[in-house]
Amino acid sequence: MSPPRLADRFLNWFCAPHLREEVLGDLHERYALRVEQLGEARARRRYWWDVVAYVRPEFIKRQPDLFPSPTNTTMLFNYLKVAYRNLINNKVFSAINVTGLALGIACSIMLFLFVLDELNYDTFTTKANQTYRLYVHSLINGKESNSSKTAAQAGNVLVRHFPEVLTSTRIGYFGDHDLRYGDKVFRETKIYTADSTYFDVFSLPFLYGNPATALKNPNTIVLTETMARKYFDDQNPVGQSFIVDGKQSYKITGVMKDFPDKSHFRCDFLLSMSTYPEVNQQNWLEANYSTYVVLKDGIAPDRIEQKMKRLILEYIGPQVQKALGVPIESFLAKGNAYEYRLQPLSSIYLHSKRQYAIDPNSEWSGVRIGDSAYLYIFLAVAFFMLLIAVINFINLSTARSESRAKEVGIRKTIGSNRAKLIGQFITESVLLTGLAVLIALLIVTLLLPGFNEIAGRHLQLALFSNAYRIPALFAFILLVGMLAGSYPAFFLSSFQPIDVLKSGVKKRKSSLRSFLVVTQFSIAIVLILGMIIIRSQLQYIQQKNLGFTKEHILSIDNAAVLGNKLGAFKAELLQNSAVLAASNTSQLFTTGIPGSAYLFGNHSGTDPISFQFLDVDQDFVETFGVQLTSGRFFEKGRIADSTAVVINEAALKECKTKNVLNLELTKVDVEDIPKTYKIVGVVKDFNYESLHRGVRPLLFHLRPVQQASSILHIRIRPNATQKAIDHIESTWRKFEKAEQCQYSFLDESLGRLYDEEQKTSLIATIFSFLSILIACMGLFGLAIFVTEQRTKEIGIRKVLGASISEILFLLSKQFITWVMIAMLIASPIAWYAMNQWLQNFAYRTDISWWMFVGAGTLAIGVALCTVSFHSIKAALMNPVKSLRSE
Amino acid sequence: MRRSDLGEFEEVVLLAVAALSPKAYSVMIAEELERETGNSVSTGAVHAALQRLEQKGYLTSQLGEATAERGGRRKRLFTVTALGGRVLSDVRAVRNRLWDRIIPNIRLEWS
Repeated sequence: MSPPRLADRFLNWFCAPHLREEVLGDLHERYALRVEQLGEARARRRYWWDVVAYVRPEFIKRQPDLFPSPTNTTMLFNYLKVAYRNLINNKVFSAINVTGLALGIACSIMLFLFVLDELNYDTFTTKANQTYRLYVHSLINGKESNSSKTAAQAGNVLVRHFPEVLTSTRIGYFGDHDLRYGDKVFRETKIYTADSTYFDVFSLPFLYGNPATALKNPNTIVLTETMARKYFDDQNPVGQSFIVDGKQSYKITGVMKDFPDKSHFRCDFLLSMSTYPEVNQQNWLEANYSTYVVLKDGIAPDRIEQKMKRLILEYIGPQVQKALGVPIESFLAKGNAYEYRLQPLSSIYLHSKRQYAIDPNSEWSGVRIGDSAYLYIFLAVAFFMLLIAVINFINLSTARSESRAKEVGIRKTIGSNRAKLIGQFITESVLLTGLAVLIALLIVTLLLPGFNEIAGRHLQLALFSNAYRIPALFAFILLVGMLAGSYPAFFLSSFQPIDVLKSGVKKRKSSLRSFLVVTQFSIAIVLILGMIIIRSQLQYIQQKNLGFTKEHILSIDNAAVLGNKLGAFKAELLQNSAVLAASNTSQLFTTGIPGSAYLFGNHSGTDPISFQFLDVDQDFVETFGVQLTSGRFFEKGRIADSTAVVINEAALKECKTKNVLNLELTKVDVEDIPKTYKIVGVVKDFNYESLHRGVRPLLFHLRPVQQASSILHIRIRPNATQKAIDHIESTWRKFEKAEQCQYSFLDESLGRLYDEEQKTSLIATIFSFLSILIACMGLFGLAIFVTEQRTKEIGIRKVLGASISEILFLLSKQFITWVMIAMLIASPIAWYAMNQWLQNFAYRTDISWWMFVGAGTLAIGVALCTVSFHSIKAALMNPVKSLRSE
Repeated sequence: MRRSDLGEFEEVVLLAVAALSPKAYSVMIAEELERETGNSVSTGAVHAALQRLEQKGYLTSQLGEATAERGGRRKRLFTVTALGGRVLSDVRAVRNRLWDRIIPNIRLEWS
């Protein structure tokens, strides 16, 4: 009987709502009439036509609503307005929230910039991801070692045999030189030699000259912009020549821009490798060059590595046999290994240490090596700082829930649903985060120069340098805002309007809040403990007995300038009573102390022993105060001493014999007939390298030290430092006119071995204090809130006779419990983490109980101070006032 | 007088409203016109014309009572406004004058 339902639905769909009633009514009425007149079937058909007749714009067009449904932006504006009012109404809370967050964000931005900087090393060259460095992996006598230095021919051989290897280039070092131009003369220590292909591999921009041909001819040199300015001011030096060591001359063929800040290798001069043609005659066991190769695009390095293994053995086999007296096959059969491997250019700075375990001693002094472990530590610290700040935010927002509860109730009553409320609170927290990020950017801009100074970096905020930075910042704001706002939003929006409007929020013990505060303080305490342990380790290193007297030793670093006159210079120095002793040695206390393989006693060529060696003169023991345990040191007048050696205790242990005196050692040598040395004495172990590693087996050779890297160490009389310096300088001037005497104090240079750790220590100190500061800001806010809530309770307690100290205890009890629990959680974590860090050192301080007590006391002390600021105020308040407050 | 304002169908609908007043609503008008002209007239067309007339100010409307056939829905009743009345009589006057000028015998020849 009723008209077609489908037609009605169709009409309802297209017809404007305000017309539906009358239109549908009309249709139905007419249908009823038609059924009477024409019968149902025809009426139904006509009904459809009638409905279709309504499909006209007049009926489809919707009427503008008198009460238009609000758009999203309307509500958003309301949220913003309410957020703003909340910010203004609770100035203390907002300030704590925003500054805490801003500090946390600023810290993490800075650390993040630092990490980003570390990750971008060696990306300046165009073929960065095709470039690899060769390194030598050796396993000899159970001792594994990776060296960054390769044989001179390795690169060329690879290019010749493998079409996948496009180019190779080498860097070598042939000692310091005096460079003279006109009346300017300086001793340059950063002169490296490089193949003419160097600038094919490393695209470094030139100011003058042509990079393709600059290093082709012998005796040609390329210098950096800084050096060009030093010698030539602002003139174009190309075509000029340096007089080198007063003998040769090097022609300047190019001026390159200074090495990029983020290059693992840096130097001042690059000399053409062809200056030393003998290089190409060198054998495969003289590994003195760093070699870089460029592979064809898309070639997997492991394939080359596999092929390389066989090829290198072909070349190296005969020479090994010659040196060790055994065929390479039996050398390898004993489980030994000697192979060339590839290390991606981009991994050199960050991963040489941990991932590739490359011996830092094998790196040039111009190479900078970072540590990926610090990268992870800093990333973790950045994350945790942010976490602490976000926790503050969550805690303070939920603590303030009472004041927002009424609003939530009313909003819900009026018709807001949970999703909208969540949206509101998230908007609010994103807004606050945005504000915090703005402040954080300001803080970063202000503090970055200082941080750069401490960390020794050139970090820049450079927001507009990169298309990703600004969007990333916005994404960051959104993410942090959502993270910080999510819990308060879910918590607040869960209120039932009937409850909150009738009786307010019921006070509940928030176990989440306790959890969050404990987390915050755990992080802060871990950081504090880290700081304490790093500091005590550094102190330990500085005070450790090194096995020699490091005080009152002055080192003349450029003593080699004197050449043959060194002996006379030394003799004249000793004339003065302020100078007690003097000894010249090869490089000491730095990286790059040379080592060699030796054969001892029944050790055959398959298991040579590896010793480091120093070239010294007879005065070494006296100058350094090293003790002899048996035998004698080199003595003046004994000509036979030139074939004698003195070893240290570590080397003695390696020899596995009790009495080594007068036994013989053979130095493995490919070129010459192996030289044999007689052991004449054993010295007590002393630390001739940084304390990151233990004392390695060491050999002293007596050599008339005239080689380029020799240093003169002078022991001076305590309390006569100035007199000694005056004497040394005046004597120096007698012998050397052109160049200044460059000296340093040994204890200071030793301290510089731990620069990286000093920096880490300073950064750890700063960030641990900041973390506890931010955590305490949160605690401060919570304390205000808690005491405010308990004003009445305090009043009643006081009226009933509670003393101030009891009330203080009552108010602080909770906070102290939190910090104590945090202490319990943090201690094992810190202990474990710092133990890992200490593994970097061969000599480690003990982690002792006082450190934990210290950190705990500090945390509790600071927390107590923070909390008591408010609780004392509350406890001292006149109960009349507090009870009247309502 | 704005003659162009009033279409032919509109004029008929307006007249029907005047004739059926005070019980003029789209169903009644459509039925009436169908009966008078013999052609089928949909309520949609009538309703649209009514809306236009109302917009022009020739009609006013209010909601009337609901009936069972309408499923409890109210109807919209239309009445002619003073302006509407004047327009109707104007139109009629124009037509009458024109009719009067036609020579009577011609008139006879048609039928």
